Amino acid sequence: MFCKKQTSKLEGSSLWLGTAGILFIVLTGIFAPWIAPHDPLAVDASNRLASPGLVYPFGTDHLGRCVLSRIIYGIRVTVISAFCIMLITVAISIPIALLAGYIRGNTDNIIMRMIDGMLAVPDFVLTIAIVGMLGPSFINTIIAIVMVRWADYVRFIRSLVIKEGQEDYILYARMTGNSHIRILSRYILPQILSRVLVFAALDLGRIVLLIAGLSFLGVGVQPPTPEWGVMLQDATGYFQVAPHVMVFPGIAVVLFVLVCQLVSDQFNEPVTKEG
Amino acid sequence: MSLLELDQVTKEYPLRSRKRLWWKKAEQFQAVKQVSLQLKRGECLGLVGESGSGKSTLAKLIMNLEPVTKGDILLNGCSIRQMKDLEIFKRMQLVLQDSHSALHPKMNVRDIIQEPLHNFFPGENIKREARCLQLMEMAGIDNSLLERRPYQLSGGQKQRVCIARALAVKPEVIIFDESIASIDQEAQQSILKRLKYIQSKEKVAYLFITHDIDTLREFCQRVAVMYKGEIIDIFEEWKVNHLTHPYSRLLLETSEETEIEFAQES
Repeated sequence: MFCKKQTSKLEGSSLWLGTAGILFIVLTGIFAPWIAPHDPLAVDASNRLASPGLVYPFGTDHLGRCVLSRIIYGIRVTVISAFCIMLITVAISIPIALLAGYIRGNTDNIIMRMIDGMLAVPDFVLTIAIVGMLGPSFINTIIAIVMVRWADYVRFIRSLVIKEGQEDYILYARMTGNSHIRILSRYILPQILSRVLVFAALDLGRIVLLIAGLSFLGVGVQPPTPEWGVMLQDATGYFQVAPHVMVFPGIAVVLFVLVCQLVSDQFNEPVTKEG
Repeated sequence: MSLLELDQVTKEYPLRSRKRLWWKKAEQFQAVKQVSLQLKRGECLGLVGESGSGKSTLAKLIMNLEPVTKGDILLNGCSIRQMKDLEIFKRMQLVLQDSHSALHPKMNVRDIIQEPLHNFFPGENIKREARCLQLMEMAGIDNSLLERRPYQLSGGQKQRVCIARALAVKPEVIIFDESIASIDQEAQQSILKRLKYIQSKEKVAYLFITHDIDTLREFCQRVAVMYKGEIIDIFEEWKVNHLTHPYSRLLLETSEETEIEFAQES
């Protein structure tokens, strides 16, 4: 009994900690111009690779730019683009999943075999391949990640649609004269939407890792845009001389993924069980 | 002419077998075997049988929720295969056993009952509220429950809402598939009384699927006994001598014995 209570308390606190962490990071990104101590693009040639101090709390990079300011402005690029990717993917996946899960039959078979094919290749490799074909840019990174992630979303949402579609009240909805479109929009979609949004929110950390990873490899966001992956890539040549240039952006990525994970752990079990 | 006629209806399901070779045809399981039945306007036909005898499958076939393998189902002489789903649902309604999952959890009683009115009678906007209250009165639902959601209703109340919703369509046939099996005796009796009253008023035909022999005795003019997918007996008089199949004889004898035992005890 005592152990059970203790566990639930711990679970509750990690949810609050995670939510507070995400809120803190997002708000820092929104209010970046007021919080950041320096211009993220301003070059200070006299202070190249300076160690952390009072003027530059996280030090400066190889061009003398403030690392802290670049990390804070980096939130805007990384986190906001992650949110955009998440919303675009959800918007694309929902109609496809509704179609596959509700119509079933050959439509479902064709869509699911396509998804199986996509899921057979690791998403990071596939994203690099797509960005490689489209050309390295910020927009192309978003397109590539959406093109890779939709499969996972469709598979999950389809399972929810199938489960919901088997409920008796859907049968009654049909018997009381509702059209298929009305059943999908009024009966099934409102019932699954909250679980879809939870699933999408859990994916944020993964998307951030993909964006940072692609930028680090030079196929994502291009310099001099302050982005965490770009900062890590810039710092690779100076790691032994000035480790702080690489450590702080690395910590930023780890922290964001960690807070996303803290929140996701709370919802993960019921959501994936349903899936 | 009968309102609803089942002509040699057969339903087969493929049996899945891991040992089956892909070029060989899957074995078939016959859930319903050459069932022929007639249902007249305003009649109440009972359908009784053990679990797995194909009663619910037959209900699904009649509603065209599953395709018939062989035979035909005629509604007013017209095959339901040639009818659109909405046309079938306008003329026939099905009420299932589990009233809890039959109601949308986020809709209130008013919306649930008014939805078929909105869909099937779109021109009668002004009369909708009055018709809703009339249906509630017919099904024995108190007006105070109008704004309640399904989780705020009892099992009996939910089943009454399901019945009111089915009646809203003004169907010619209502199929009750174990509809009152999961509610208490008192509520069952009250719903049966209501159904009799509705039948006398609206001239609806009922196909009443149940395990409960006593309910059938009280409620149905004719009873069909189903056993292993087949209709083995159809009778009007409750006399064992009139029955041909040993299962239907046993069914009737068991019910009579229970009645005698109960009479002796009391």
